Amino acid sequence: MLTFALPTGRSLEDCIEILEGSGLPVEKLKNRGRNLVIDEGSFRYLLSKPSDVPAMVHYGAADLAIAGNDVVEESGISLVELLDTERGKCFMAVAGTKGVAEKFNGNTCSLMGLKVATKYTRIAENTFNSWGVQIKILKLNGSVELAPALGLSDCIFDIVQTGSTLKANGLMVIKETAPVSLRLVAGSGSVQLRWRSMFGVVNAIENYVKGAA
Amino acid sequence: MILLYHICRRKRRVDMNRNPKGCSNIGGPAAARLEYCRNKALKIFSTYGYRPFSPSELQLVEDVWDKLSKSRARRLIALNSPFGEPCVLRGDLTLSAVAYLSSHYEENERPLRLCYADRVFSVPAPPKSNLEENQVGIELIGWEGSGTDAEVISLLFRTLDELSIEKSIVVIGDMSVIGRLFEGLPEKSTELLISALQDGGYTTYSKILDDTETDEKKKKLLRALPLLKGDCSVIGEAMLMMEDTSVLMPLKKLCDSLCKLGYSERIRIDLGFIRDLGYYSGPIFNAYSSVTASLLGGGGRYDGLLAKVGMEGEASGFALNIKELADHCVDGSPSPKIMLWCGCSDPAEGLRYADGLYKKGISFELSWTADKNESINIAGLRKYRYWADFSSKQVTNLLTGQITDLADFDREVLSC
Repeated sequence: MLTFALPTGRSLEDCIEILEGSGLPVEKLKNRGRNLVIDEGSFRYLLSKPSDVPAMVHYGAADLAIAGNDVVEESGISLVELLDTERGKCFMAVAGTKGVAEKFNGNTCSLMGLKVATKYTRIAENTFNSWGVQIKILKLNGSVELAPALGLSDCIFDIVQTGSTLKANGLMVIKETAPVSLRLVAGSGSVQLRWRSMFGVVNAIENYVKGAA
Repeated sequence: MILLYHICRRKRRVDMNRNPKGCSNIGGPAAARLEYCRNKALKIFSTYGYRPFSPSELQLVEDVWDKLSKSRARRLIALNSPFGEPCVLRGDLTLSAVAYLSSHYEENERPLRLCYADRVFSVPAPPKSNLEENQVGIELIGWEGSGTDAEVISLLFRTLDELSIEKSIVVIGDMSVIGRLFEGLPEKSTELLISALQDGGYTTYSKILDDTETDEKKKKLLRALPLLKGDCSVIGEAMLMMEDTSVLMPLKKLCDSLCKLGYSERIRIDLGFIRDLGYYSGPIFNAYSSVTASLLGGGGRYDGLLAKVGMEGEASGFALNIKELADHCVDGSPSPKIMLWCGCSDPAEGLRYADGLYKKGISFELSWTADKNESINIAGLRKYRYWADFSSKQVTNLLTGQITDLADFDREVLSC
């Protein structure tokens, strides 16, 4: 039996579409009710909070998972990324007001000590570090767009899908930093030990997502 | 006054329980299992001619920094010694062993077989939080002929078997295969491709390969190779895809040797397995428990490291995480079976009887309290099987409640 960890929330429908398109059984998954563990055919699906999916795979509770690369990178957990499903596409970006955007056009010295609100503290720190910029991070768990308006931060670092939330809060994308999408991931132990039983499923998903693209 | 004493005592105990974050004290049965695994492994290694080596826990920064990859060096824990020398807490035992060999042994004294059981320290990679890890392992350094890798991996299997971790699997890769196939690619692409494989980024690997200038045939091979994982037949599959199969021959020979030793069911090949190029240079391997898929340890050929200290030749070794071994070890430590109560007897008589038990290889604990019931209670708490009253010369089986004369117990139970 292969176990998949899947993120709850808005990504779950994308995950179900991928699995169904790849020929995996998903009827019970579609009619899951409040169940978090669903056994269907020779598969088990574990439904978990998106940020917990990497740990599920790392600790061996799941062989495979579909998770956003933003979540995997933020967790800091080293997983094997087998496939980019090209679903749930968005991007990671620095966003702020016009005034702050001007600072980004100048010398990086003007960015030193910038106050950045984000729920992605690890990625934010790594990104700004790679530019040689030291920042002050304000960790927020949601409604990050509020922080500049309330004077809590100079800018935000978040995922952007359409940009409408930014616009509604008087913010604009200053700098896109990385593309984000749902990825098929596995633990390195599972890949080394159970590859033969995984391979067919990985192949089926790859064929589906490439064919549908 | 007595109450105050108890309050102070309790408070002191609470204070002592606090460890630095990332560090832990191990006691009770867990510590006994650790000790059992450590001792058993070292005994096996010494039987195979590996001599114990105990390196310093502090290493000079100047000695280690350029020998490790950036990602490993960044995880070292740096500090200044009280003498003002920039140091790191030992993050790697192999490095110490190689440095020791290069500075203490002449060429004609090689090969050298070293074994160790010690701690290593590093900044933990998420989601782990432990700064320290107990390792037991071997290093076979400076042998110029064949047999090194087979000896090291078979000894790894032997160790796991002796510790009753029988459902263990060893995954083998070969750095030289990937290294050879990347020959002729632009240097920058090679660097990025290696880094992608090392990070498990197969998507990134594939994208870099798309952008790399090389012929389509080679691209196809490079795309397929990391996905070849499974039993030994994988090597045959890889050979069918290659024109020059000589690069796979060392790995094939190694697998053939291990299969002849009866390990075919417990070997997996992973041709996408890559680790720290420049340090490792030939076969590399990881040992897993197939039950929990937990990583027990790993090792490999590190001729590259040897070259960095100015030595020619081959070197291979492995390190196992003792805590993982202890968690997966079925037998565990043989804890004492008997509580020997001598509270109402002449200490010399009790100790003489204890000496007799020691000579028979029977583990025990002496109890000197004058309170018989307290002694029985402690024996029960510690899950001992027998409680022996040395004054009345009687033994109680704590599981069944059956009472036997000490002489009969000696004859019937201890002689078994």
